[in-house]
Amino acid sequence: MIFKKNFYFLFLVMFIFTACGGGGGSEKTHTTTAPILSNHFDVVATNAIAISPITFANAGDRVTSCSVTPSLPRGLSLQSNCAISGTPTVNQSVTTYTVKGRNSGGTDTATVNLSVVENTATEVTLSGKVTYDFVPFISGGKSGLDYNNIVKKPVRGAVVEIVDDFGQTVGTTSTDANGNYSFKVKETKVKVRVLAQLYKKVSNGKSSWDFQVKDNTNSNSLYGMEGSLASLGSNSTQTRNLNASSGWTGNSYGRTRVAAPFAILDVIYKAVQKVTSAQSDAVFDPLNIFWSKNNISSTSENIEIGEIITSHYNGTALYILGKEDSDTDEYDSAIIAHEWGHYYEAKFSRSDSIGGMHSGGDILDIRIAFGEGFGDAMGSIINDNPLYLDSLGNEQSTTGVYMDLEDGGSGTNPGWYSELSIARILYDVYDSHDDAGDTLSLGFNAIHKVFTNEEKNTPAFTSIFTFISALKAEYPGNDTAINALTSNESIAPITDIYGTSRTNRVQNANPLYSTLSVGGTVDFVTNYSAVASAQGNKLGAYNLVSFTVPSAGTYTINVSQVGESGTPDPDMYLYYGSSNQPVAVAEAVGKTESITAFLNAGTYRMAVIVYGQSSGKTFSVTLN
Amino acid sequence: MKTLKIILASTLLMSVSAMGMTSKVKEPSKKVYSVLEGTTVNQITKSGLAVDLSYKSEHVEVGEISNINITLHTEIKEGVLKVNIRALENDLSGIEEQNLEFDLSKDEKEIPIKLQASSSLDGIHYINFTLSIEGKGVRVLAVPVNVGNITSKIENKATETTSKGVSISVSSADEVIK
Repeated sequence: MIFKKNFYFLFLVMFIFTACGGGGGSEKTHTTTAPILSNHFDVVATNAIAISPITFANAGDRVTSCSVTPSLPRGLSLQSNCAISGTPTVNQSVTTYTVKGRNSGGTDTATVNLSVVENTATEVTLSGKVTYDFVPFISGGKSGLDYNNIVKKPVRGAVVEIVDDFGQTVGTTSTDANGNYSFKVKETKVKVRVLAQLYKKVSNGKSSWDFQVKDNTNSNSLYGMEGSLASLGSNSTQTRNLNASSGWTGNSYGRTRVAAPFAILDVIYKAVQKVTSAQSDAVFDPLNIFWSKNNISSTSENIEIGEIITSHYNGTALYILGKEDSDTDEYDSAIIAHEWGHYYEAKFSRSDSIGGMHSGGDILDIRIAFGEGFGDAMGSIINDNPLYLDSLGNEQSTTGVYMDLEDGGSGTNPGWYSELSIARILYDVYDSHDDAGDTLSLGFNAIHKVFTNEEKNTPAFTSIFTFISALKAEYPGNDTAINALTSNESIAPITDIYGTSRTNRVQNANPLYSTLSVGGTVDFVTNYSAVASAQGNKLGAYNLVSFTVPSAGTYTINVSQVGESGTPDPDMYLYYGSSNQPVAVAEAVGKTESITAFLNAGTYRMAVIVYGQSSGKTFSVTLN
Repeated sequence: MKTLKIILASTLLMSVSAMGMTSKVKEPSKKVYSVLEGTTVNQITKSGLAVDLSYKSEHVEVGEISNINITLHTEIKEGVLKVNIRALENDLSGIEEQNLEFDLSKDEKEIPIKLQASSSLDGIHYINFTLSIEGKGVRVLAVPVNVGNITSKIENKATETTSKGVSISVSSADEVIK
């Protein structure tokens, strides 16, 4: 073999000499040199211990494919570059393995003598507890975060890996409900790594999930923390406790904020527990939660540098604020739960919310009122805490949002258009604590049941009317208690999904929904004087219409102004079934709009908005 | 820190008053790379104060003055809107921390604020706006001001790839071995 290598070396030198001497202006070409592999020294591997990868020095060009004879011991594998890696799982006497590397220039072989011996090392039980620093609100909840009373909370349900001194993951488990983990380990030196990930693999008929907290400003990498690479010692047990530090150093985050991703993860752990308590086989779509210390409450979106607008769910992922002295949300458990609630609503139910700026006292379009009210309620339900708090400002010392969901009936502008009223109603449906107007204690089961059935499929827009109607249907005999809940928020008894007898304005008595029939016309009058602008998400900006098509066919819907004045620009959005995406849209610039579409038999819902128009103008919608 | 109470008589008065808050710097001819703009109008938001913010800010060279035009939008018609303005990381000249107050009982839905700022440091700098109305909540919004080379905005720790091929950003835990 030595002779063979020398021969190749001589050949290579001659080749290079020839090439250099060629000159003469001819075009350079590269001829691939066949692999020139060197044998590897003998390797004695230990059963059940990952090997340091066996690589073969190559003086030729890159190997593009490789084979080995005889077959490697079980647990070891051959890479395309002829490297051998893995963890052997069977003993093996000394055997000479021959690898054959190839590229377009040719082939070469090399050998390694490999044996796998019994692992005689004492098995060590490595266990410990994983915790993170949680920063609570100052008592009472109205003065921001309390860095003087940081508490250690268990990291629950997180993925834990044991990593050996070759960087190989030699064991994986998850922390339990108290943050504890345990491994049987035979390696001599390992480190414990905890990932900001909740994972339960997909298994037919059982629940599964994969939630990962990642850094959107650092290549979307998964957050983790790890201890030192240390000896397991000579005893049969070893304890390694890990804690993720908040990084707070007195008046700023002077050190790495290791705890933040785990604080977020723990809220999601609670959310998963809540849902699986109602549905043991719940299958969660994978979800990434992006948090970064750079995530700032911005007015434009540039995710890679942290400009995320605000903490939000965008339909595929959660984005959470983290900019110190501006607005951080990692310890605002209600905010995390609220945004996760939007994910839940989208994946398990349906949301027709139209988004936009909102606050507790606003008189909102019923769709956003319900969507955000549900989010607020989930903020408290998941955390089993009626206080909904949001910290912000310099040193996170301000409470920007303070809502007590047990303080029913005391909010500004209570009603079916108030996200705060809806949050209080939903929380009272859930909680077991009776208070003014609340004798219901139906638990999360009731909410989950309604959301995954009637609410998901309602022919009306999702609102407090659809929810309460379904709740009454699912839980007969509770009408009085349910009516008391709604009455506590100044809402008259709800009898149907369309909010019949309600009006779409504080002023001007248009019905909340206009009911249209084939061949018919409905009128509505714009009125923005009280609470809504034409472009807003407040009550009255959109006019809601419902109609039933008795048989499939092509239909035309028109909207136009009655009489001519100004330059109105109406738009229409038509919806059907359990989808929150419109089946037809008419939003061109112009004084009239028309939709002509083939419609299946069934009940439709439509939202109509008029831009560029003042109050007091009448518009007609026709269906033919 | 300054505190001014401004009764909203007209948007012009508002503009001038707000301008008066900033350091006056003579503005020579300058290179404007671009004008950044953004708005929270019709964006998804978490619960909080129902006040929107739109902005335009000039991306300028190091040491040059960026003109920043802010417009606050709200449909709230009662109370006093308090606005705290400060540079988030004290890296902008011309943005001294200041507090403005706007009476919302007037029928104005848009409130303009004009600012000027410069920086000796390349990068993206933020002006922090804390908006509050007593009894209605607080909202924080940040406006970026780009200065010079902005490519090195984020300084990240190196990521590593696990043996399972997952890209991770790992920090050291506080560890006790027994």
